[in-house]
Amino acid sequence: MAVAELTQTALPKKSNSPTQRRLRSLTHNPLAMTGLFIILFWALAGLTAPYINLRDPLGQAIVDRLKAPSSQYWFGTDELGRDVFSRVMYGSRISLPIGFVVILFAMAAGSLVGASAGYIGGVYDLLIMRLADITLAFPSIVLALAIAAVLGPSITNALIAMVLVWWPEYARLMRSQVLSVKNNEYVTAAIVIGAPRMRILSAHILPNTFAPILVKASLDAGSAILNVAALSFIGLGAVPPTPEWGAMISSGRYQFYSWWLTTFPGLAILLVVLGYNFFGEGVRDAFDPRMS
Amino acid sequence: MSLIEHLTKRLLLMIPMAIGITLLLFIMTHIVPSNPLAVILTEKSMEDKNAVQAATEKWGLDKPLPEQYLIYINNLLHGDLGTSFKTKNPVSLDIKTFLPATVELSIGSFIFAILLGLPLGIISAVKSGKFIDQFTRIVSLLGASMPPFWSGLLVLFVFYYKLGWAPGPGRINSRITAPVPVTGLMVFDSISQGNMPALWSALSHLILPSIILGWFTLALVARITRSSMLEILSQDFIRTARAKGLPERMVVLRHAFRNALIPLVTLVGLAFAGLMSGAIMTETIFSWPGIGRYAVEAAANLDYPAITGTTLMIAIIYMLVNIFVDALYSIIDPRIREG
Repeated sequence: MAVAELTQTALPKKSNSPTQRRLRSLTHNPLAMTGLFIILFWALAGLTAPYINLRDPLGQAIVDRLKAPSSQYWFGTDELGRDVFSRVMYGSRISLPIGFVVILFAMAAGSLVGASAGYIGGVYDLLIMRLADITLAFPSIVLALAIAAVLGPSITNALIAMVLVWWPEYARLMRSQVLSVKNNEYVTAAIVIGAPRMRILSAHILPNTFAPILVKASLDAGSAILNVAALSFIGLGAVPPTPEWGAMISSGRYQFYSWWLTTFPGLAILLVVLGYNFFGEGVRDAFDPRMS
Repeated sequence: MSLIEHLTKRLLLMIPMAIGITLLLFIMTHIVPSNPLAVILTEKSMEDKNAVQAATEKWGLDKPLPEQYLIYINNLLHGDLGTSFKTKNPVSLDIKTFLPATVELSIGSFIFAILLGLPLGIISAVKSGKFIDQFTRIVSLLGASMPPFWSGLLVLFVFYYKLGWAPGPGRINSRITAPVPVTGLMVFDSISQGNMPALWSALSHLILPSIILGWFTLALVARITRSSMLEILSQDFIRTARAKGLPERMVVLRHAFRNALIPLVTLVGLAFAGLMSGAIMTETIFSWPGIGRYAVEAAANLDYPAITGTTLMIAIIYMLVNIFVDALYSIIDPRIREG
């Protein structure tokens, strides 16, 4: 028994598949785990917000308007007497999933388009890539601003605008990945033994292209939140009275001296984006050490 | 390939890109809103039959879409970007008025980013893994994670309202006679007109927004300097320099840093995109009368001609910046041209 324990500690049973090694490097990265902790904290805050006896984030109490933070109102109240603490907590129900949704859609659309362009080639490739070039000719938030303005202000339209300006980055990356993997000998071997095209793409090419895409996605999620908050701040995203952090800062800045109106939602954005960025850097260090 | 040939090729490639960009903007504004007149006229002038008639004729709205696009291009080539609903001025005139303020702020933020980012990047490469390296990493991450529309409010609250160390929003103190706008760059105009109070006021108003806008660029500068320094410091000629007994300061600054500068050039293009995005927020917070704030107000008021005009303008400037960076790069490192 004692011997068995000894050998187990001396020779820890660790598998050495590349993916497991990378995951281990990720879970042993303090920065990445801090990031994950922050994200989980806000996820929990958002999930439990309706059940932990918070004040109604939309409930107005005009008598208590613009109250500074106190034991009664931890983060103070806004110009309509709404509880800022409750609004910040509820805000994570909007801002937190936004990063996921924007990046997920941009990644899915971009990867699909980019992979097919790289694999099919020809005129299709040419057209798709020129469309990507044109979209990337704009600084992203500028184009997103224009698209969101044309579509009209709403959080869904802000998301659509972000996805529309973001997919080309993934398409380009995916295409170059497919092009480099396509010429590997094992792909040629698969073609020689007569594997169908779809199978070559799905079983031999795609699985070997995902690491850089995932790295990019985890690094981008923070900027996605930042940009959607920015659109809301401008008035093209979440519409009042929705408790969204960017919109809260936007309406709070007119009460310049009531610092709590902008400070707390701003800190919330900062924390979430830092969380995503910490985690993203960890993913990059683990999966693509060349990039760090 | 000679530099001239290379540049000509890049400039010629700009033409199809410009066509693509205008086409994208055209489709966006002509397909999405149900009535294209809404993109050109305000709600009020929609009721005015003459205005509707004039706009329909000028932009060819009764013609088929491809023809409308040609008319749009023709108007663009004559410098007509449409008329802003809000300012009632031609958009091209508005851009001319608001652009210098943005240029001035961008220069200020760039100076801040370079002055702080280069030393931070060098030090964190030399002391890689030490405290200062971690510190730089945190500063960079904060720069990339902080919403500029929030950090701007924060520094205004602390340094203007609480401490009184910095002036409030705007480009110049309203009690000071502003210089006559010749270039539109207030610092430059004040110097050339010998207006010292205005120069001082303009410079002090530049500090806070430059820091807020420059923080993002600072993060880029520090990071790229660090990684390129790390690469150079491990090369043979550095070991040779050390072996022949050169002081470490000479090795780092003379031998390594000069070579590490090359990748920094590419950063200018990247930084420009960041600056434009940042300018949108920073200018709004600091009431800075630049192109970013103009774009935001246009978007908030659904002022379509102003939105598409500025977007087009920014995209074209962005393309030119990238070509300039490319040219600079191929002058510094001729291998690029061959590739």
